[in-house]
Amino acid sequence: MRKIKEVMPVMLDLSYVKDYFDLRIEESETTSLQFRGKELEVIQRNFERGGFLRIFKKGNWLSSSFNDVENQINKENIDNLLKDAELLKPKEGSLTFLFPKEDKRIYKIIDQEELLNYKFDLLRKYNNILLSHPKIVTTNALYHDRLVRKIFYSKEGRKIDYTIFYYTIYLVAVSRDGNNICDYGIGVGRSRVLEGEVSIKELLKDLENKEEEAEKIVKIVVDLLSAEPVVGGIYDVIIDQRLAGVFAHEAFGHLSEADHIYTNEKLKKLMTIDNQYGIEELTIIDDPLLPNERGSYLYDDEGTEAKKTYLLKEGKIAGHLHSKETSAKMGEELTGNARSISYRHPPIVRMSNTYIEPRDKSFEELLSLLDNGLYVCGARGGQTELENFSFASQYAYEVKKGKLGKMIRDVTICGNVFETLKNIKGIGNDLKIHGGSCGKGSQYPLPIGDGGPHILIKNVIIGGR
Amino acid sequence: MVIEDLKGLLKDKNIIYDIFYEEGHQESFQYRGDEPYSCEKKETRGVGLRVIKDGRIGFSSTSDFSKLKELVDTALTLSFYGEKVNIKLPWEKDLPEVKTISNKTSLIKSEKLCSMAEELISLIKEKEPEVKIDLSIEKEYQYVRLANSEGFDASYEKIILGFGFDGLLVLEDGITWLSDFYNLSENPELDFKRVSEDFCQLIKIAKKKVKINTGEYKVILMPIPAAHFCSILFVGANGKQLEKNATPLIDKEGKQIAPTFLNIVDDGIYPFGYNTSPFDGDGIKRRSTKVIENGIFSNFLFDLVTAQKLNRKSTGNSDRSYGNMPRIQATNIYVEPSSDYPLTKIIKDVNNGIIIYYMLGAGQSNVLAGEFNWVINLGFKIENGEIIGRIKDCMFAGNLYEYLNKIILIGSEIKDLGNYYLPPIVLDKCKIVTKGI
Repeated sequence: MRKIKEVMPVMLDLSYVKDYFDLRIEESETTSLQFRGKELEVIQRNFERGGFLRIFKKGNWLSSSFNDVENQINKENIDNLLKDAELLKPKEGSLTFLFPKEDKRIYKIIDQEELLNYKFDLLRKYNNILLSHPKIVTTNALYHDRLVRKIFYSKEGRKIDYTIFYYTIYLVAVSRDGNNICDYGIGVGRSRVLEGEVSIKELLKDLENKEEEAEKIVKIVVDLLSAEPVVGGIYDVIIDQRLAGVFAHEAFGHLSEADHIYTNEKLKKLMTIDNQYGIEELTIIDDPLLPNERGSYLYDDEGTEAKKTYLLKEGKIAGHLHSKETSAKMGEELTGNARSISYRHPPIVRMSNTYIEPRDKSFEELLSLLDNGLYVCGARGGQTELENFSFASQYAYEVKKGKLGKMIRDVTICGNVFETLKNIKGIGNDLKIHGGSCGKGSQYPLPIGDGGPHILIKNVIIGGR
Repeated sequence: MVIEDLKGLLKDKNIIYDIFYEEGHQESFQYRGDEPYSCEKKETRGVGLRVIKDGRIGFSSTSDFSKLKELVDTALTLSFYGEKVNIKLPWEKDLPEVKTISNKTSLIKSEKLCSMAEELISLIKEKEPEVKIDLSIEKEYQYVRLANSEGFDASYEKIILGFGFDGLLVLEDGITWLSDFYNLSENPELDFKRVSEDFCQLIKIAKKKVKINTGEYKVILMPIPAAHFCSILFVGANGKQLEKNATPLIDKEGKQIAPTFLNIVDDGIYPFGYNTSPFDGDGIKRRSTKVIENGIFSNFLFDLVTAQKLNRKSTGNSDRSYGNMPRIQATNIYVEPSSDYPLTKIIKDVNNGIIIYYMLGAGQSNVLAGEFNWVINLGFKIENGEIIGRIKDCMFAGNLYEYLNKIILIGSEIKDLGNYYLPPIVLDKCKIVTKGI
């Protein structure tokens, strides 16, 4: 790993700008390796450098992003940006401001080599396990890391400078039997704020010892070939930790993002603090301060300190996620959730690590409570549109009289989030947080974490043929 | 200059390489809840270097042009691990002339973009004051240059103008969300009166809810669901899946997989298409490739590396940006319309059916196998040739390869989504699962 040089350019004195402004500069290095089948089809390293300057004037945002950091931050460009304000009708608008603060985290990477061999060998080892069954036709085994230094500077007098290292592996196998093709995989994603002496090799140990999980992928993807598709209808289900995370994030978390709420009177009413939607055991949290999860950070992209926010506490709406703008609009405290995927984009309200708090029920207890229904596992993805959600699982099992039965496939769960929250009847004790990515607007992929324990839900619509 | 500098750095290394350079700028205006929200400007640039050393590929990219030497060293180092290939980089002559810049669009000013946005919002609000409009208008200029060690060196410019908006209507019994999009890259003149009337008509009928039972229905896929439906075909028709033995189309070349009236083309030279260009990411000529011709599956799509491995020819489908290695991707997908079947006539001929405008869950199912599993997010019931109201809580699931044979009709009115050119697609006997209202 190369040592990042000092990147803050000679700063133009911006004190003459009367309106709120902030400037972000990012420098990043990315390494990707991808096996598809036996071949290492992708091996690449990318070096990015760029900036994002924005001004809040007469209730509207004016922004500019650029690569040529040294030459683009000049008076002429700033004047042009201020002139753009005249194109937009002025309106009322305010922001929640922060107090001045300087925070610079210094680190030193102590590994001397590039570690390419290590990354390659690790990925190849898992890929070989994925390829170990004759019914597996190909794989998609991906290693990805990104070291990103984020520098933030604002009108308020905030100067923040810190670096995060993201590291991920993603393992997928594709099985085939005649015209029947199935795929299944898992991802492991972590992050670390770098401070002091850092050994990247030490961090990457988080990605080691996944052999058993790779073997499980092979078993599931081969078993899927003989699994029958689900028959659509209404079922009682237990969802696994992965799907519980998708539910916490996709179905509920997005509704807690205040930029959705403040423009929508109905949602405002539905998401009013203290509204009761779930059983008392149900608590959903967004927490960027969880150590080393993929959605963790110290400051958001508006320079606000990260903090833990209860979205749903004991079944009641407890909080919303905010940027400087939504916090001012709704008169609620800042939560540090304004994030952007890179210097090319403005910060918007996003989640960090979102999860359902675990309770006391073991998986076996949930199975016997369920009696008859489905045990639904893994997530292909999820999509929401305000109160409606849809998420696709990877595989599922029939449950009869509290016992797991045969595997079935193509199970997609959908519904109205508020109804579904009311139908949560049991919460497990086995929390797991998964590192993934989220898309909103045109911004994908943003590193996030989501998770939960096993959850029992009654009366769920399952799509099927 | 960057390409010249890189060529200089690579001169004595005796390796095969190509350099993909791009730069551009974008101006966009966003409106939220009927009001202006932001003006965003973007200046972008970057360069990607692919090298083939000792028969192995390495790749590196940067947007920081002070790092060109590092870029070369990194790409060469990585090639030690890279895939072994046996390709000759092309030097294609007579590149096709493509339409990627229209004078009308290139001359349009920022003030005009804002006034277009405001005009549409006010027309919609006049008719439907309760609906909240979010709108985005984006004008983007791109410059791309590709040069390789064989001597190929070509460039193109493109201007894209996209106009998209959505409306949110909140009623006591639920939320209705609609959206629409126009690719104005060829002609920025939009008939706002007609656009707003069509939009308001949908809002009006969405206010009435009707009940529907689980069962089999005729289904009209409007452009957005039709695009998702076709995108599953293009996962299967991707030459990479053929190489990996992971597509149901593996033994279907030259075979009937759909009714004879179905023609689907991947058109890399479609005038003002978002993905139109004279050459692809490998420097191969873009072209128009028939993927389904008269119902017969006729072609997989290839880039240079995959074509070489399978002893085929590239179809000019190498997709590339400076930051990523080339990979196979469809360009502009065109479904041939029928000659005389406007939507009004299609609806009139349906006794018991559903028309779907938007769905949730695209791409979440096992698309490799052709599966789709959608929640119908905005759909209407049709009875005896008339739309009678909106349906809710319905799901539609199936397998594309089965449903291709359920296509009974293609409409005649094409919707330009920038990279999809689609008429409505009508399917017979679709199983719709529902919980009722």
